[in-house]
Amino acid sequence: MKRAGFSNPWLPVALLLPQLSIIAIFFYWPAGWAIHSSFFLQDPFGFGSSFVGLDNYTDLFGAVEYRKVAGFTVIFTLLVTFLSLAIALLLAVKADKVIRGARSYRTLLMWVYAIAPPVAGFLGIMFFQQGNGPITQFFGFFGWEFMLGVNYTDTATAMVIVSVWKQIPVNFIFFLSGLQSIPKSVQEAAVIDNNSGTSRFWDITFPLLAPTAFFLLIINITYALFDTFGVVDTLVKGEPGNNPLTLVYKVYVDGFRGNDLGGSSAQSVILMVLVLILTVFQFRLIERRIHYT
Amino acid sequence: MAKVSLQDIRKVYPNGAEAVTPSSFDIDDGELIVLVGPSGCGKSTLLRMVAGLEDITEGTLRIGDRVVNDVDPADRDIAMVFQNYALYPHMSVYKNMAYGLKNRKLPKDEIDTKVRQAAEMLNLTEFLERRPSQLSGGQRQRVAMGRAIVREPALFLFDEPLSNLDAKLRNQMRIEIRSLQRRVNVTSMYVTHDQVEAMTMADRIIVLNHGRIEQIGTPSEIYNTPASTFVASFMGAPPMNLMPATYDGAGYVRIGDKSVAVIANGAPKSDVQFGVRPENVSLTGVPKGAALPFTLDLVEELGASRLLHGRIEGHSFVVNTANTTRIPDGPTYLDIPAEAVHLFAPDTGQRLSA
Ligand SMILES: Nc1ncnc2c1ncn2[C@@H]1O[C@H](COP(=O)(O)OP(=O)(O)O)[C@@H](O)[C@H]1O
Ligand SMILES: [Mg+2]
Repeated sequence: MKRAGFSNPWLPVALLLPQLSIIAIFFYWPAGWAIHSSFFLQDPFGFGSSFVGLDNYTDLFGAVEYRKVAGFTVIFTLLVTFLSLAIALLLAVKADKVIRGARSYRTLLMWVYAIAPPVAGFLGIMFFQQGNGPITQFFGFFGWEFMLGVNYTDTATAMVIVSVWKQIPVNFIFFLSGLQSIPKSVQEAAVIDNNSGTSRFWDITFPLLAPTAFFLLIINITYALFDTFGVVDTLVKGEPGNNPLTLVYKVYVDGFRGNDLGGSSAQSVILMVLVLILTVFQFRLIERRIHYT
Repeated sequence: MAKVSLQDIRKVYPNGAEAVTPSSFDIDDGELIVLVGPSGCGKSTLLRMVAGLEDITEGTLRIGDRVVNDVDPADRDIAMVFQNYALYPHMSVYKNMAYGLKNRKLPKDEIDTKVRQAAEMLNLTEFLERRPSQLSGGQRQRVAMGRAIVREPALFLFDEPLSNLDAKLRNQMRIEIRSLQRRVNVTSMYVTHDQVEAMTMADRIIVLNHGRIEQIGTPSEIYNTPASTFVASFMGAPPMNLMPATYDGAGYVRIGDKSVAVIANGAPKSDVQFGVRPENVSLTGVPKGAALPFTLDLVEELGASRLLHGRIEGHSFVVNTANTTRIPDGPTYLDIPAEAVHLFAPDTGQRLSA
């Protein structure tokens, strides 16, 4: 068989160039720059920098503050991932029962997906507003004087709630389509084999949803680690103070507020490594992922 | 094993469509009843109501001595085989078969014995540890059968279990299912749109049309005395020849200006639908007695037999003859014995002759 080829060897290069330059300009160059500057100590007043080797890294791991932020990030990520997956799954299972066959419901629920994310962040702030936010008032009923941006636990709670809230529609849609792709007759065979709905869910439905759930798990971890930057930023209103921060937000705070570009670069390098590990993990598992059909 | 009885069972779907009009029939202990009819006639709906997968709008359903209208499917003591097999894709063949028993809290060793017995019977022993995706269509079909058999239910339900298989395998599985059902002697309801399957497998056939029972009878009753033009043309391949004619009230039917003797048991003079099965007439080259002139248009070779497509008095007519029958060179005539003629009312399509 004759392989299709280019008569001019430069043509393929020219065709690839836009893509390659985008990757180079927006990824490799800043990444390389971050790695480079993580070995330097930046003069706070901008008069050059000096090479300090691994000092930035050792400083980080020695810092109580950094370990505290890392600890919070882990807990935050676990909570957001678990809650947004669990709640979305619960909602999807309930919705699946209703909308089997009834298309209009599904379309209606799709709108949530389209509308929710941008609105959710904004509404979150409104809900948790001091004094007149409905959730703040609701907590007030139980004697919990909720102080967003002032009390560490309160701010953390709000961050988790808003982040979970923003992510539920995405998970919901994926779970729902996963549920709907389980053949109706398989569910019916199970109904004849087993009279307990709960045990049917764990024996049949959940294992068949596992590929979807695993995919969402990775998506959600990534979301909680990185994409919650906006939520954290709005909720702490740029006043880190005594507030909980995630690792990504700390990169920003240290780099742009604290002008510690070296330390901040070292932090982003650590995050890059984290992403790398996550990616490898994901590909490994996807390769071995159970394919049922 | 049990008797099953349906009394005025009716189904109206939430959208208002009446899929099954009030229907009644009994299934005897160990009997295999085939529900047959064109697509959309309500076969699956009827079966699924018996399974408990659809609510029964009206009527009473009994399995054994128990009214089961409001009993969970899992507690109705039934097993069902689905068209697409509906195996659990994440479970091995063994677990697929064992799942129902496990949920009935049977001891492990008893489950094991039953599953292995069924696997033995179905030649599945070497596949017990495989996933359904690693099996061929016929093997999956057997697993679905096995899953039904191990439960030793009072009633088997089959919803077009063979329609996903190729023609050869379908014939083979048809025979297997039939002999298996005989062997375990479990009362069965079998849904199909294939009249050959219905004729070959059934103890009794129920012909459905638009959610209504057209006829209930043994295969030979259905074939020899179809209750309506619908049954006559649905059951049998090629279908019965039907054409408008007039009955003279005295033992003869007039088609155009020709007469054919019939056995009509004192039916009055009236317009009728005249029906003859393609295989019940014979072809001759000589116009003796009441033979009808037959204009031959086309010969279709089927191997063992031959289909002759032609016309009688302008109405199309098919004749099925053995491949040994000599086709005359000149004009052809059809000899139609009186006992081969079926008469139906032209408006309702109901049977007139005995
Ligand atoms: N869930 C449903 N809702 C509304 N109508 C339905 C539903 N299921 C089937 N029907 C209708 O009921 C009739 C009978 O369907 P079905 O029992 O599946 O037919 P068959 O199995 O004989 O092909 C059809 O007209 C079909 O469109
Ligand atoms: Mg059907």
